[in-house]
Amino acid sequence: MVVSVGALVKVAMAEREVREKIEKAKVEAQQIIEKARSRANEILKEENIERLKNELVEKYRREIEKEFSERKMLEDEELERLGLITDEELEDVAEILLEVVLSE
Amino acid sequence: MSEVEEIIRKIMEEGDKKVKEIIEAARREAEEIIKKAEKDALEIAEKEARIIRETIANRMMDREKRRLIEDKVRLKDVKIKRLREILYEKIEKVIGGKDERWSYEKILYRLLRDAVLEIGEENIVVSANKRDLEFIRTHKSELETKLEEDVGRKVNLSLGDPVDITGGVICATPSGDKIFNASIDSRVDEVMKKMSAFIARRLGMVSTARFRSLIRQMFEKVREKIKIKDALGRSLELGPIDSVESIIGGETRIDAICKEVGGGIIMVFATLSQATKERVQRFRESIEKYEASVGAKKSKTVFIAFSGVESKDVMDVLRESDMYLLTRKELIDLSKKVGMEM
Repeated sequence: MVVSVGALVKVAMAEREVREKIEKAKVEAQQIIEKARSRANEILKEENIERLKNELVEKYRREIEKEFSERKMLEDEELERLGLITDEELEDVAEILLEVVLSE
Repeated sequence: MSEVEEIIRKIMEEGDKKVKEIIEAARREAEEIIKKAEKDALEIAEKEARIIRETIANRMMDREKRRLIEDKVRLKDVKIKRLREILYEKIEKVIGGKDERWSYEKILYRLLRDAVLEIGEENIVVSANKRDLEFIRTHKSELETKLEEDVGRKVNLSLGDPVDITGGVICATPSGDKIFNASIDSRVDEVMKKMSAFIARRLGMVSTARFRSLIRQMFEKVREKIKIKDALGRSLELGPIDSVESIIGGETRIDAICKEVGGGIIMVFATLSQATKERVQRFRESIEKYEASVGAKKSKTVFIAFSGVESKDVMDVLRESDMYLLTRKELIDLSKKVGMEM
């Protein structure tokens, strides 16, 4: 193929432009990564971990409280029952016990 | 487009693609770096938070347990004390001859005979309260003759000191090396101890977990069709039941889901306390959730309230909701029908 000098120059210029763009992209890529590293350092900073920990503790506390209120409700049923035992019910049981105490 | 222009276009296109690739790879890497950092941070925070969680849970558990145990023990003691009082009132009636079903003289003789048999000696020193001691003194020869017949050997009774007991006797050999306590008080202690599990069950002095387990066991024992009257006077037909499960957790509470052999599903809510509007509502919502999630329809709903209903309104709510109500009385009836002691 016969190529003119002008055309060769044009191709060389295009190649140079592309190389420059790639170099620029590499620099930008490095900056993106650096920025991410810096953000990662921020994330791993003690204050941030402390904040996360506090958020989790608060979440756990709510969970525990919910779990306990559920359990408390059931345990309250037990307590309520004890308070609701009537003399009539005790009479019934006492009658059964009387039979056993006085029988052979 | 000339050939050269085409080459240049391709060079530029390739270049742009490469640039895009570089930036995208960097973004991916950046994203990974941040994600990893977030994951690491969360792991560290979680590790520390879990330790605190345990501490909080243990502290709350201890506080709750202490509160519950103290209250429970106090209330149980009060009720058991009252039960003993009632039992002693009944015993006093028997001793005073005010309960026609029993003859105290016969009971006293039986206790004396048991003690004589247990000691196995001829000479027996009998201690009792003043009243019974007087009875033994005035009927001594009569009692000795009857004892001789019953135990098959000679028995010499001598009167000991009066003791502070409700009834019955405490017998010993003259040397005191053998003593047998056949007092009513000792029988009461023994029976109360031996029957403590029965007393707890019959009075609903058990934990909620135990109560639910008893309810599930009872439904599991429904092997054939059973008809009972509920506390609202309606006829309730149950069984035969094939399997029983339960759903408890979060907002849903169905204490027993009983699958009948014919395909029917009986939903059961069981509380040791009373039926209240709130509990009925919660049960209703739980059933709706269960039906929506499983796609199965209940055939009957049973509300078990060991301590009855809070008010008449609740009975109306139960009727409107087409729920059968079983209280302590109906539960005892049902347990008898399935051959289980409640």
